[in-house]
Amino acid sequence: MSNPEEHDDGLSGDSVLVAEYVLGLLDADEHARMTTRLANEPALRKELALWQSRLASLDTEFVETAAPAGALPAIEKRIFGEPAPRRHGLWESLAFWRSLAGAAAAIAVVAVGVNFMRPPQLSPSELATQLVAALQDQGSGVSFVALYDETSGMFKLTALSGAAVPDKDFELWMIGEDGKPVSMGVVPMARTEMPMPDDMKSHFTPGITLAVTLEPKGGSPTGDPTGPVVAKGEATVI
Amino acid sequence: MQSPAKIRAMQSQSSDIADLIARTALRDRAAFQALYRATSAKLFGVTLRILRDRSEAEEALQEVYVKIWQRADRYAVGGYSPISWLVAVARNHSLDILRARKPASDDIETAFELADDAPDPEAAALAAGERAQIDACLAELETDRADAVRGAYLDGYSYEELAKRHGVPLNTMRTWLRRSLIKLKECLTR
Repeated sequence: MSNPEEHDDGLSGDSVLVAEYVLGLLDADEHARMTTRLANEPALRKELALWQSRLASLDTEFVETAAPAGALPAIEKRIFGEPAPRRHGLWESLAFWRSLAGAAAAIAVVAVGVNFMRPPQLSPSELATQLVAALQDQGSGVSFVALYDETSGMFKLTALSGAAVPDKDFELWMIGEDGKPVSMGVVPMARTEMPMPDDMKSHFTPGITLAVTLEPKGGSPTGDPTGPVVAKGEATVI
Repeated sequence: MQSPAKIRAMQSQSSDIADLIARTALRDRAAFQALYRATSAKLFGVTLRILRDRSEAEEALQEVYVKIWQRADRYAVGGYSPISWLVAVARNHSLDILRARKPASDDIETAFELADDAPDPEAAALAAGERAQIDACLAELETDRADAVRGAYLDGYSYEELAKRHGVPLNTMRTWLRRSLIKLKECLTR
């Protein structure tokens, strides 16, 4: 230290050293020594908290300046790399399911038209419906497609994009007319097939919403969604 | 004076940013994008002011957000306002570049320590009062000494640069600044 007399008064000497550390005035060796001391000395951390929080009051003087437009894409590229290669095939194509959901109304109209021209002799099984829902990415990079076949009672869910999150699980929710999410369980980032639970069958109708949220491992601890919605979509008849 | 409505608005903005940091820690990409949109102008203001070079400042901004993505879990809600934590990350990173220090991997831990001992859970609401306090305390110092403290914090000036700017020998600047810091602390904790 070039001015030892400035640092020989115990606590205030340390306090000044910590202030110099916060200001960035220490040389590399002193800076490294202080980092080590801070890890071991709670009293110094109190000084650090004091100086940082008081000096942070000056932060208002940093003038907000719009960041260059290309910065966020560049950051995302650094973090996420190139977009993950899409798996191919019609089942995995979100565009296909989207267009199908859009076309479903038209198909239904045509079907009704055809039915009118036929004698009304349809068996119950022919009236059975299939429901599809494209659960679209809500900015998370995660998307799913869900298919429910009323005849077989089987529910199928396939992940189209996105990756599993360490120490977290994705949980699927059915949201009916009352707006209250009902859990359909934790879902993997792969293909799942399960029989639709009996008590859900009557609620699983066109117009309901399916949503996937990010939850703690094992699913929501409360029975209600606690994490962000990563994908959602509405069920439509096909 | 800040109106109660303005303070409430500050608090809610502050808790929004805390929420976005928490969701970023959960690898929520949409939350990270929202956090970027809410805070990048401020952090770019920090890297730009300290590095004084637009392309270096942009490069630093990118590195800062990569760091925030990787280490958002180190932020815990404490007495320290979330935006101050982000500014500290950007400021420390810029100083590392400026000093050509090897970027310390513990920058974020250092910034994080602020939260763990800060005694006051309502610091965000008090920010306006603290701002007035540090202004008052800096005003108690001689003008050029107060300017030196601000230059070190806001512009990242080293002792050498401060000495040159104020036209005094290096050791004089050290003595000035250290004495100013002692006075400043007396005033801030009064």
